[in-house]
Amino acid sequence: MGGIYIKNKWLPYLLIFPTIVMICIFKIYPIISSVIQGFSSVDSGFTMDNYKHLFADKTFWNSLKVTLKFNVIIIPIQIIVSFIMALFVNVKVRGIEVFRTIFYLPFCISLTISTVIWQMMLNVNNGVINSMLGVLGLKPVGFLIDSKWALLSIVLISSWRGCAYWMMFILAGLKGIDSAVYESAKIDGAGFFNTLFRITIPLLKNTWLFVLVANTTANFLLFAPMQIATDGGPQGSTNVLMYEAYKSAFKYSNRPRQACLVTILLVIVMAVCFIQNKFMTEKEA
Amino acid sequence: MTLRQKASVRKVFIYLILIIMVVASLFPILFCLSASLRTQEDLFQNMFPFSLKSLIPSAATLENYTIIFTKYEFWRPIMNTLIVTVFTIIFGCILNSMAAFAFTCFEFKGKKILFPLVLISFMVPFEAIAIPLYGVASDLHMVDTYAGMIIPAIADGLVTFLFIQFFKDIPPSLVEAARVDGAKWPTIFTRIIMPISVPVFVTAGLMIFMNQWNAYMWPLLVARSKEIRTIQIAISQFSGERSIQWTYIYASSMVSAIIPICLFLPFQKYFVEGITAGSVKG
Amino acid sequence: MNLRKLTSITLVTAMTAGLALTGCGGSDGKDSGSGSGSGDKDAVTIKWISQGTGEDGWEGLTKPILEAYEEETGVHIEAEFYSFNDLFEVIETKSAAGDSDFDVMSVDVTFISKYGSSGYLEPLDQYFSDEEKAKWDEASYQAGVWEDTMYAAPENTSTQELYYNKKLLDEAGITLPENDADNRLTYEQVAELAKEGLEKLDPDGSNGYIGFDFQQVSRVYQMNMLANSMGGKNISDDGYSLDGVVNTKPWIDAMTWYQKLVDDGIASKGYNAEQLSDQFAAGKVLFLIGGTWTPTSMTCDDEIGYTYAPCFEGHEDEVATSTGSWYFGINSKSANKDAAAEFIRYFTLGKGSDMWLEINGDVPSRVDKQDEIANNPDAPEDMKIAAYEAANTAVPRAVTPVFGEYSTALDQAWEDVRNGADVEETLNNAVEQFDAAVAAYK
Repeated sequence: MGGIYIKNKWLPYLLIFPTIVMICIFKIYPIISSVIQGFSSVDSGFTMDNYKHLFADKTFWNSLKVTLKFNVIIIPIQIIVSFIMALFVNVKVRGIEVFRTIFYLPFCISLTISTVIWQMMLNVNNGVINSMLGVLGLKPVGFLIDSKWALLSIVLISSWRGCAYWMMFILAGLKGIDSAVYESAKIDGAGFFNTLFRITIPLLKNTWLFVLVANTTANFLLFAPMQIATDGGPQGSTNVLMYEAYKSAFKYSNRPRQACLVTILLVIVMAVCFIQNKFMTEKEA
Repeated sequence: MTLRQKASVRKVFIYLILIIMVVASLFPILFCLSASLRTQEDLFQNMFPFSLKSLIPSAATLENYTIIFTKYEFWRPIMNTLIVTVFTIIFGCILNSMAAFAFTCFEFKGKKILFPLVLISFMVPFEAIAIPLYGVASDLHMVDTYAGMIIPAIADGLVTFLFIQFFKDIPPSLVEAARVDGAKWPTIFTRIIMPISVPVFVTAGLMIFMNQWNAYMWPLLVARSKEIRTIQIAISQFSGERSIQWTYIYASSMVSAIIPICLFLPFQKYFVEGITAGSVKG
Repeated sequence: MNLRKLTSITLVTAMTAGLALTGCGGSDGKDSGSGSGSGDKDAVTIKWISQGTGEDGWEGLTKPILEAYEEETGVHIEAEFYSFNDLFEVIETKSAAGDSDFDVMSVDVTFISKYGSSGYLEPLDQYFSDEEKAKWDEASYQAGVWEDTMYAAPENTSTQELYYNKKLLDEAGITLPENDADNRLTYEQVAELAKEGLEKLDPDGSNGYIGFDFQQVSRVYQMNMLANSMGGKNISDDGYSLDGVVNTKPWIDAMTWYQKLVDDGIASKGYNAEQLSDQFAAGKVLFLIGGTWTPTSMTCDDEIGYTYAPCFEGHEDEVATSTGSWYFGINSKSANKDAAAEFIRYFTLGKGSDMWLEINGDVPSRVDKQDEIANNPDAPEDMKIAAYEAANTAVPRAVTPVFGEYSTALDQAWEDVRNGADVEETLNNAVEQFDAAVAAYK
């Protein structure tokens, strides 16, 4: 349907009206008021001081670095893993419904609880994982207390739950591909990987854009696992911008600082999504 | 190898991978389940170092489940959350899909401004807009009502975006054929677009469901009274300043995970049947 | 504000129109929302937001007090309890949005100066006379004051003692040396005993025992006690600087000692404060510095011993214990300030306070109650110790409106040192981090 744009005087406005109005009031208005706050001084005048203070703060630059590093790692991992999961649950073998349900289960455990469980499993004092490493004769790893490991552990915790979620969207996309396409490919003698890269992945174009944008947003805004499992440590190695923003608002009651951080995050997310969009549409051409 | 042998090797391989994935998915949940079946003391005596005892309760008990349902009336937040969820799904699916339909099918003035607005609306974390949003909800007298939890969640840019991306895959020929036949737009939307998009509606419904089911901060702010408290708030009530009732938390988490799963099962067939062969472009 | 009103009106119109147009108008479930007792015009209702949900939390514990208050005065107290962490989010959101729908709030001692200076709290000086103020011990009263204005009244205070697991010590054949308030155990001694105990009970670490630890590990509330016990201060006098306060010998010595305790395997790594409390309750910790609530949260009271908090060798005259707990404050936007103040008086000085101290069993902030415990031969020994510490060795927490930034920097410093980071470097980083954060307020 991408191609057809029909002109109609009033119908499209009627269709978008309720959604747009509600988005404006419950989302856009609070966003704008947040952004404005970042440029407001104590007496509500315009100021760049809030940004100046932020840019002079080493904590901010460290958070920015951590945020970028975290997302560069987690976004590809989550997308590739959930795609592989979706491919597997899309095969037609007996009992696949059961597997599908089981794979979706992690997402049903709330992020808080799943973080707590993983925190215990990754505990340096003979948690499950370290006990297993012990059996293999390896030394215990301070997954959550060693600055070399903490960020990767957070990636693991978030992905365990996150991949289950993204799998569903990709699966919905896969289900939208006509099976006749595969049959004709089979007749042409295309192998598995050939079919995958020549047919499946390109046909999922619209799904990809959604998953990429949604996943990018979700991960840039993620902070609950850091808050619970590491409190942003060790040595600031998991202190993402969003956690810094959360602390600014609710621990420091410094809302201008929060507003600045969120505005910066918004700009980053928009930029990344814009690039993804460009990349996807170019491929199409 | 014959073709048949090849096929069964392939099957074994698939099952093997599936089973590895099952272990990875389930292990932490088994831990949660086992913790929900024991007393707090038993749990912490056997947690570290890890052994089989950490997974198998020394004396399994359903007490935690009994307590959360009797003493803490856990059924109440479940019902509340279901009410909130159902209304949000109904309104959310209808309104967002309508908007998406307009964005994918029509050319209209202002589209270039409105579409980015939809995108930006989900790129900002809830925690960042909580304070101004609370002001709005308070002005609208939505504090401490179901409406306060439902209405702000109905229009969701991400859900609209999801619909848009999937509607794009619908072949234009279908819509055009219907128009040639003289069908009106409402008919096209309800008779052609909607039936063909069942998997998307199910996905969107699931997405809204999980959003509301796991919602925490907003219900905390706008739904404080016991009567309308939602499930995640109820679970958090078990953690105090000085001690945390872990076993209650695990038991209630199990309950809160089982409900979406029970709902997910019957809807699975729509994924499988989905868009039937032949109706979609190749 | 005008923009908000305008948008709200637009919304109502739009929503009605929108829903009507789509043919699915109607309300979403219940819409009554009779929040703050608007029913009876004559009866005053005071809304109190606080922490501690459930029958075992404050929700259950304060019930008889609220009922008694209503019976005596006819004022209904509508109390709302949140979990500990959520309360801060709720207060911040409501107060920042200028919400008037609650009257009284429970405030953690560390937030008083912040909320006071942000205008969230109503000054209380006009509601409490000097005589009344003198009824609280000086440390407790002063913690509710910021820039010569009283913003909050103490509900009770807290202190730390040395707790030990009698059963484990017996098993290891360890007897605690005689000690009292003037002749305390030293931290070094306790560490040595803990080490001895571990060697006997858990030589290869397979039982997961912990020798000597801190209940509120990596939280300034408790950990600063170590630096204080070496003579270190918490923050500069103006409340805005750490330079020359924490990057000093007492702090470096205290942290180095603690780091060695962890490195020697006597204190733990990797457990957070909640997990550590649970470990002690499960009988896996030999010695624990903990609050007076430690035995009550345990199922095996008889197995727990307690004594005065230790001191450092060579610093016997600088004993320091943590202190401070919850306070009551009035929402500056409240419409019922007088009635709110009455309720606070009842709960902090009057009969409600008597009941609360009885029920909760925490350390009183009231001087008369502290004396009562000290002079009553039947009072429990651990409460006597607690009352003594509260009156004599308590070091108030850093009084500063930037406590959030303060605790972020130093909690993390304690945790990093625990995990092996270089002590001096960590402290210098904390100073730098805090100073950068505070620059915005100057």
